Amino acid sequence: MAKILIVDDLAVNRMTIKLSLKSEGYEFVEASNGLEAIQIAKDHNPDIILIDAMMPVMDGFEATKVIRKIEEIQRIPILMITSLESKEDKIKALNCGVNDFISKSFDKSELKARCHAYIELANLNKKYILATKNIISNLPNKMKLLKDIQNSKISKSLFLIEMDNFDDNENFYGLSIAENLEKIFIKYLIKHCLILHDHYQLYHIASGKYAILFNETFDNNEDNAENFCANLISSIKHHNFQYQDYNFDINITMSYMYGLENLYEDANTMLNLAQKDKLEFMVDTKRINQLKNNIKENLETLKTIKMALNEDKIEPFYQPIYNNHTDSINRYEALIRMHDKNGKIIFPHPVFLNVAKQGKLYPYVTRLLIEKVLNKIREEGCEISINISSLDIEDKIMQAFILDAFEKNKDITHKLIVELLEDKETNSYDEVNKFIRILKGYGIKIAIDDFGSGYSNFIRIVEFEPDIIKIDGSLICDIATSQASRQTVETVKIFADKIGAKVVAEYVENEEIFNIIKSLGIDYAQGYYIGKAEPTIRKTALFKKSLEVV
Amino acid sequence: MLDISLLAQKLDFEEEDVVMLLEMFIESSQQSIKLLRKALETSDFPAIKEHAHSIKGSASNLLLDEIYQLSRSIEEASITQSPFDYATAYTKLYHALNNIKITETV
Repeated sequence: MAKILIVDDLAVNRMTIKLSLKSEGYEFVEASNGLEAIQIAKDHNPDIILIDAMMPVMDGFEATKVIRKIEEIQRIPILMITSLESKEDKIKALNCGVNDFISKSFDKSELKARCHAYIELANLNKKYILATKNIISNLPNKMKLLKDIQNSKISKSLFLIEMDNFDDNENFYGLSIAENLEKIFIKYLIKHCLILHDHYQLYHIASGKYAILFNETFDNNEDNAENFCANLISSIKHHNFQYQDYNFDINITMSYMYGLENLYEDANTMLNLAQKDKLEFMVDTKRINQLKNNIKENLETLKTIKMALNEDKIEPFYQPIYNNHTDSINRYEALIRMHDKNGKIIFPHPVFLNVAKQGKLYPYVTRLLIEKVLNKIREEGCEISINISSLDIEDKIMQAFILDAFEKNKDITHKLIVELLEDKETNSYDEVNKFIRILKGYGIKIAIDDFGSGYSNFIRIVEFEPDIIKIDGSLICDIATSQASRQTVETVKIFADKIGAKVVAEYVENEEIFNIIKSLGIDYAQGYYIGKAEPTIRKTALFKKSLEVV
Repeated sequence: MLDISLLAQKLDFEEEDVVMLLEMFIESSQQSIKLLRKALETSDFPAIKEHAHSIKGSASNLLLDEIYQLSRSIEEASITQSPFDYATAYTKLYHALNNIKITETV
């Protein structure tokens, strides 16, 4: 229901207006002079104000002037009810901020129509304000920030501030405490900014995230920006934020950017970068160009991967795994290889994989690998191991696909080995453990890859009950020269024997290493000495062939 | 004698509302006319203007033509401070206000 504030010193006049608008269903609040009107407007926030010109204490002109200066009520349309006949008085009223006039004696239908029109206008105003304000703090929001940047004709200095782990606060203390914490924090921010500079605008752009946009008064240089960040961060760090009985230590991350076009986007990229690198702030504007180049490269890589997927230019290569006990090869590790436009092979080095992961293409690569490997097992009758990351396992759709593929090929799944790769983003070991149980049901062997990092937490290994442990390449590389590496490998072998797992040594690059690991009783050898990854499976070890050639 | 029914029709109000408004007007104008008299006695022009204006506004809303015209002439004269027969105008206004008789037609 729309609310109208009627201001007139005479009750009879207020009543006349109320009766005229009786059929419209408005709610009315009344004041008998300008001073009262200001207070009532603040308390009731009416949609429009109908105000008499001449009143004791404070007249309509003065009251309008004051209302126009009060942030929370300044946008309310004000209609002056008047018999003002002189043009000068009307102009005076307009200059004070009156929007329109209703003449005495007023026509009822005209009064209705005008009220209706200005209430509509007030609604539009409110919608705009809601859309440009954060409802918790009443500060301008992200939309307003973007608009202000867009409307600016000159370069500006922008700081972004984000509370660290704000979501954790929200989850831990609940929304209402988190909101109050924000309010307290904002008060602090405002106070801090006031001391430093005059001309700035603070924005509340998301939960726990704020922006400070300076006009030209902020001297744009990195030292200055760095000082500003360092000061604010340190004062917040040393301030005890208190709400009710709770004390909060707030830490923030900041970024600074100077410019006009893409100012917010660039500052935000810097903020993300600072958070990723665990820096307190980032003001190095050169980094943004570097970053933009990276983005370009990433997009190129993504394009290449997509093309390779579409044109079937991604395929597994097979690296032989030598059985030290039988001196034969019947096991291979499938490794993804990709051709570029010219048919040249691009190894999927970490950059490639990271890009694929972030570009959400990784599941497609894994799918392709699984399909092709299962076909290969069917063709060759050998054992093949594939790498599955914890990310694949956590991805429900991917997991469903993997399990479906295994179900369809369950006559040969016992020849499949799954090497578990740990991803640093893994957060659910329970999920991984559950998945392992299902794989074991298919007779699939479980291998722990790169033993010496990640999953090589003994408790976890015992839980996973792996069939195979692959020793981290770094331990094998220098086994001939490093006593420590050799002892570690020996220990791993003893541990593996205890839990009934076979041991694979990777990076077996020469005869010396090969002989050592054989003497230590390591069950399998994998590396360039045995054979590289190739599109077809190698049945004889490379060293045997070279012996033959000799 | 006021024709409430005609006034209600002109104002597009219910008759009972017109009666209520007139009663309110009579009450407030009694106050104003007293203050106007005081102001006239002391030749306090701003006060003359204020009280005449106050009667004028309500009278114009309620289509009380004679009262409107009289109070308006007093207000205008007080603004320009030109020679004007305040006494006569005041007396007429006083009587006009006292002559409002509300009789509801059934």
